[in-house]
Amino acid sequence: MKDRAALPRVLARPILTALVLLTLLAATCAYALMPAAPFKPFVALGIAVVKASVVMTVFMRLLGARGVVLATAAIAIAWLALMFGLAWIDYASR
Amino acid sequence: VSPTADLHEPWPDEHRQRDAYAFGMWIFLASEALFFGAMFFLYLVLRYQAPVELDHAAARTDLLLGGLNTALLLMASAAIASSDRLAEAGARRAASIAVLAAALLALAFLALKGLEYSHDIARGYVPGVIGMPGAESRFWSIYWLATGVHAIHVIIGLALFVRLLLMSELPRRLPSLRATALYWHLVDIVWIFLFPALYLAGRG
Repeated sequence: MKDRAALPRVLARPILTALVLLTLLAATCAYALMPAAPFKPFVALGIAVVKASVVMTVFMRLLGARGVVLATAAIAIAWLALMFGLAWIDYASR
Repeated sequence: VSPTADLHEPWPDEHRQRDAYAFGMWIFLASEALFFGAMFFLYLVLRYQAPVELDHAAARTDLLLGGLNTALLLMASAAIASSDRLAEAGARRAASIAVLAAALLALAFLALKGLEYSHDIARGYVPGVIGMPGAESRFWSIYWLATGVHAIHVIIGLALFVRLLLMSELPRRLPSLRATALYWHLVDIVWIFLFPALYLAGRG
C-alpha cells in the first residue's frame, strides 16, 4: 500500500469488531458472576451466539459472500441443528 | 491485476481460485462444526443428567485464565482478519506483521493453557480420581477432551501462521491467507461456546 494514511481505514472494521467482542466477553463474565441473576446459562449461550455471529459475518466475511458460501454455512448450521434434534429425541425418549 | 503466486491448475484465474479455496474451506469447517457439535451434545446430556454436580465442577475451572485465553483468541482473530484486509489493500509488510501478531497471540494462548493444565493436575481436576463423584468425573472428562482437541486445532493454526510468515509477498498469496484465516475463525468460534459451557457454569 503506497498510502500509509489509508491504514486506519483498512484496520477500522477489525479493530472495532474486536472491541465489540471483548465488551461482550466482559459482559458475559460479569453476568455469570452476579449472585442470583436469572437465566444465567441462557444469557451466556445467547451472548456466545451473538459473538459467533459477529465473527462469522465480519471476520469470516459472510456479509456479502457468494451464494455458494452462504449456502454452505447455512447447511452446516442446519446439519448441526438436525444432529442435536435427532440425538436429543433419541436420548430423551429412552 | 497481477496473478497470485498461488495460482495453479485447474483454475483459470485468481478469482475462481479464491472462490474455490473459500468454498472448500467452508465445507471443511462444516465437518469440523459437526465434530465439535458431538462434544457439545455430550455436555448437554451431562447437564441434563446432573446439573448440580456439573455446576459444582465447572465452578472450579480457572475463570481468570479461561477469560484471558478467550480475549487472546478474539484478538488473534482480529489480527488475522486485519492481515487479510491489509494484504487485499497491498500492504505487504503490515499484513506480515498482523500474521506475526496472530501467531504470538496463539502461542500465548497455548502457554496459558499449559499453565492452567498444570494447575488442574496439581488440584486433582482430572477424571477418575478416587472419591470424585461420577458426574464430576464425567465433567472433567469432557473438559479435557474438548479443550485438548481445541488446543490441537490451535497448534495446527499456529503452524499455518508460521507457513504464512515464511511466504514472501502476502498480497499475492491471498487465497492461502484467506483459507488460513477462515480456519482460525472457526477455532475461535468453538472456544466462544466452550468458554461459557466450561468456565461460566455454576458461578456467582
